[in-house]
Amino acid sequence: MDLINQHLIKINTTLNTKSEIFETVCKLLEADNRLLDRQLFLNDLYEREGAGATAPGYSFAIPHAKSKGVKTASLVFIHLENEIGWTKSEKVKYIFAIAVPYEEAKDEHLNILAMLARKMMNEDFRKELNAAKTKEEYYRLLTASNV
Amino acid sequence: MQKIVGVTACPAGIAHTYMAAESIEQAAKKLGYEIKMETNGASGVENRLTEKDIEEAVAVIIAADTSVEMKRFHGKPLIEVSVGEAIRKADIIMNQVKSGDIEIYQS
Repeated sequence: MDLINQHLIKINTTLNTKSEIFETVCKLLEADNRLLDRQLFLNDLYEREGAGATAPGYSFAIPHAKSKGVKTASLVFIHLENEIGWTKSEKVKYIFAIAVPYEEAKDEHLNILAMLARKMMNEDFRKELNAAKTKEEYYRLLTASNV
Repeated sequence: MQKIVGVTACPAGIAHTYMAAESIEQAAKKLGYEIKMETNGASGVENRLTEKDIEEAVAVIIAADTSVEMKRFHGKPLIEVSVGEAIRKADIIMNQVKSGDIEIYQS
């Protein structure tokens, strides 16, 4: 199963809190049959946030968890109409939520995610993300293998 | 070319580890340093620093929100930051390296 598909991309959305965003992430994952236990996954997401918030700047948030509640490694992308405060100091507009099964190790999914993480630090990628308008464009950007 | 080495690690090791590595690599290259970053991620240790790497390095950067094997850096000028700082403030960290104002790490 692919890490991301167009069902896991939601654009031009208005959500106001981290918990609304996490709920939406879970809904999208469940609708695509990618979760085993929603509550377990949610707990693990919050636990990782607690260890250090996952907003590295550039209006990005990358909540992520390696969790027993996850069935299939997945990336959910949400583009918010509105910016929301992720932490006291950090506002976010682009959510890259990452769900990885607990047992998954040394998998190509992890390599793809590592590549995506590196891509986020690339200025050209960020410019293209800002310019993207349709689901197809976001999908193409998120899955392009060139950095 | 002077060489810098470093290690990045975050609790899940899925995203931030790599963002921090990329950020530091870019900042180091901008200042003309050779750079090697070890990533302690979910797929284990990648790009592991060798004894020779560490010996050659003029500075070590540890960007971690979780514990990293530190003994190997005894006696090296070393900067310790959070993963978030490495992602956001790599340029500042690199300027500190350049200024040479770094404490020597005692394990």
